[in-house]
Amino acid sequence: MRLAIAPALLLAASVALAGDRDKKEKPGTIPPDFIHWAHSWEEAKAEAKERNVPIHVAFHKDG
Amino acid sequence: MDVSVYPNKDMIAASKTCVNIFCNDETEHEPKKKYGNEEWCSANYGQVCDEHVKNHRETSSLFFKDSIPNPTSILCMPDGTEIKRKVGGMAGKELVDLMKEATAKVGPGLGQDEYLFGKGRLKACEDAVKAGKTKDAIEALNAGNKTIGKNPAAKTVVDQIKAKLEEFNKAGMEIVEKAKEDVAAGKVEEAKKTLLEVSRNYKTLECAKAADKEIAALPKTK
Repeated sequence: MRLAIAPALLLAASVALAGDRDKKEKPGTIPPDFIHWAHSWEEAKAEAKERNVPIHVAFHKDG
Repeated sequence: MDVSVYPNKDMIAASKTCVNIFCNDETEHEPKKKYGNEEWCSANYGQVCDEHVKNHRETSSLFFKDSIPNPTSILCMPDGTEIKRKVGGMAGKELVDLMKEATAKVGPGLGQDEYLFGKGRLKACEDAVKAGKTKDAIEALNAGNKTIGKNPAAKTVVDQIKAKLEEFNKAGMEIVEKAKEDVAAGKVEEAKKTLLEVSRNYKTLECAKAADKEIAALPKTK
């Protein structure tokens, strides 16, 4: 159990550390209460392929 | 369903198992909103209105023949092939379940946090190289490798990290070889300085060990 938790904690700590560092280095680090939206369809497909994850396409109108 | 369904803890967690793209060709909403020191579209953090309009233009013909019912949520395979769609508003849980279903269909994938972390370390490496800070560049890559290196789903990103580390190792080995030539030519002090730099800056790589070995074997100077 401890072995399973350790990598998760390491990742969480590393991500948090990198997040803090990156926040100072470059604006645009995604705050935890927002969805990260891809900037283009091509970018979405490239990232989805690299990560092997689905693409969620959301169509909306104002109002 | 309006965009207020998105800033929800369970929704955000589920969204990290996908790549999300927001498509809206209207810009009647407030175009800009301050998020701390940053300014983005009022509906979406991290996007400007031009982007969601462009996304709409690029994707609408891929998924609709006639009019576009809004809202519509579509889940696709990584190549963009549609898996399932839901037209109309829905509760956050329903969209979360749709995402889970799509994720199960696609197979084991890399979470967004791990992906952004790995890509962030590659970018930090690139920045450090531009600033001439080899040691920092290698440390950034090692941090990426240490954190996500054992995750099989991170293979594509880890392979990029490992390829970069190998490039550094090769460059370091070339410097060591040049230092050995300097030693043979009697330029021992110059070679020692170079080897110490490799030992310090390329730490953890094979070339640093090679540099240490050469330093130990250097002839004594007066």
